[in-house]
Amino acid sequence: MKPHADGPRWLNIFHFASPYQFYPLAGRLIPLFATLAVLLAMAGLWLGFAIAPADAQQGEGYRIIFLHVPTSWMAMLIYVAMAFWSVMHLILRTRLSAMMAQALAPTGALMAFLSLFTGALWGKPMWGTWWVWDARLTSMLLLFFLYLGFIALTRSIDEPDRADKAGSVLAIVGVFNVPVIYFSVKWWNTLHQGASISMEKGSTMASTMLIAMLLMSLAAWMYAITTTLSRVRNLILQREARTRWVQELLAIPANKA
Amino acid sequence: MYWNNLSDFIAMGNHGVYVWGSFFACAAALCLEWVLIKSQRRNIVRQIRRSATIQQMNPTSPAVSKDAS
Repeated sequence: MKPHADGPRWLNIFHFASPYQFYPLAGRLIPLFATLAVLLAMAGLWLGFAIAPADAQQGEGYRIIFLHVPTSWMAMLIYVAMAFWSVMHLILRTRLSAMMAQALAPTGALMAFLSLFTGALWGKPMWGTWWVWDARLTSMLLLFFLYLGFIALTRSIDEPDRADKAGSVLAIVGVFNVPVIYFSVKWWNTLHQGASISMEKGSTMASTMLIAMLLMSLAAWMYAITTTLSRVRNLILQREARTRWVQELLAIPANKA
Repeated sequence: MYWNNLSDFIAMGNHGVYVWGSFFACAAALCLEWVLIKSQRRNIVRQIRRSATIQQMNPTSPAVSKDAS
């Protein structure tokens, strides 16, 4: 790795686009984000499950919101992040961008699944049904399938360059589902309740509940960053297995031949 | 503290099954994901070491790439 002539190397954003440079950086960041995730989740759970009062309409059952909303937000945000890295991959041709998209996908799929699962457990006592073909529920289910499709597609192509390109295109096409999910409760007036927090009206929740929900959402962010960085490190190791730096990292003795 | 006693906390106003079901599903899923990532890493490292050993016993196989980036 030769030093850059134009200024300090940490000023160059492309410096860390190299898997060789990004691998140790990710390794240093993981403990930081993992600690933040645990602390924020503990604070959020304490506030949401021990301090916050019961909801006027839904009683204690509303507490599922502290799990349902963060997982739903994360499912949508991770998809947007995946589409962002896919665009970066197609424009800048950086391999790390495509690896980031592929590292995000399993966590996104898990978040979408948990959103649907906690939603079903919330719907049963409040609506009297586990599932309805409501606009929001259906579009969230579609998001879950888009994640699964992305994972299946990228893993079924053996050649990394082609897998990256095909995955990027799929991720970008699918991103149009995210605004549909977000605005679905506004566009179609169906069973799912409207947003508790909106851009125009602010929050309609009590402040303790709101803070708990925001803490849980931040914890979900930190968790997703932690798992994505760990998974991208796995992907880097796998793809760079034959390079000298990986061999040196794993202390494999150099080939004398 | 909102709760008077532990049994109220567990009952969650007769919605305990749904609330705690959601909670443990999320906790279990996130822990499982973390464990899977860790075991995936162990497998990858093991595989790289194994193929390096094979290559040293058989130097005619393709050499380590010099490209570092």
